[in-house]
Amino acid sequence: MTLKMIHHHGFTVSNIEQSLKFYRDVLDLEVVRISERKELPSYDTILGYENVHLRVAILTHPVNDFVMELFEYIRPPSTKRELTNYYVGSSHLAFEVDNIDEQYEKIQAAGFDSINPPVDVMRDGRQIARAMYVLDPDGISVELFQEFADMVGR
Amino acid sequence: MTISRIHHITFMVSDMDRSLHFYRDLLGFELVLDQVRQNVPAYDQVMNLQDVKVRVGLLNDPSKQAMLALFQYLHPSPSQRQMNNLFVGSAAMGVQTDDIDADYQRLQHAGVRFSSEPVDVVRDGKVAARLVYAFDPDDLVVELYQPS
Repeated sequence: MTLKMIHHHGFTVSNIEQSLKFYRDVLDLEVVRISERKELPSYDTILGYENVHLRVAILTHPVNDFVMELFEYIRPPSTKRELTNYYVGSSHLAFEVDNIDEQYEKIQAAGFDSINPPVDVMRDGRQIARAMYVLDPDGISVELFQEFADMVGR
Repeated sequence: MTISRIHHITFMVSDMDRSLHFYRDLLGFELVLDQVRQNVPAYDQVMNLQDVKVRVGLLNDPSKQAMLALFQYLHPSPSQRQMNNLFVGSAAMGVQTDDIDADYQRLQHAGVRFSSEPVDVVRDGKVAARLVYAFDPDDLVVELYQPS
């Protein structure tokens, strides 16, 4: 087995600048680079389209070096459709935060919203976390949670 | 800085057993929890759904630095629809490997589907990485990535 680690997670977005207002300006991820990628035969092969033209933003988190990628397809063009969590194939990223209520105020002040305000997650009569799903500019849900007990449930 | 770390990635899957075979048995993730959760009002509120019942599989990645959460909705019934990276909101999880060609051979032999063979990504005249897209049992993209 040579697989070592999850290296990055990426989402297709409709507009990188719009997404950066959320991931960079509100969630404080650091932008490593934003690049235009076209005329790269390797991308055509991997993605299975002809003459792929993409804009890619690479972001990182300063603490654990996790890389997040945002893909904006210019050719072929992307398509928007309804996003809800019970569609098979939906995905989200979860960030741990120090103070979720402060984050809730911060995202609201920045003009973003969550599906609901932060709620206590109880298991077996005790509070294990406080969590909410924030919606990015494309409606992709991003979980923020403040952990009070081991989530694995021991 | 109030975001302390990326904690996990969640994928919604249609058949937990089939997905566990893929992520645990083939990719080498370590299963740390597999349970059905229901009557959790917080889930209903966070997800804005009623009477959520989900089977949750929580796995450590091989480095134990990140977790993958697999959610199989039992209520409400999950919906399946076409998967394609051109849909906004589509995800691709990148997994780093030391030997992408060996992994490709091994996984293909185990029946995993790929979009192509591993390909060198050449940027500015240099090989930046070697990549291939694998598809999980629900067609979620798992990118195998070998840095140069």
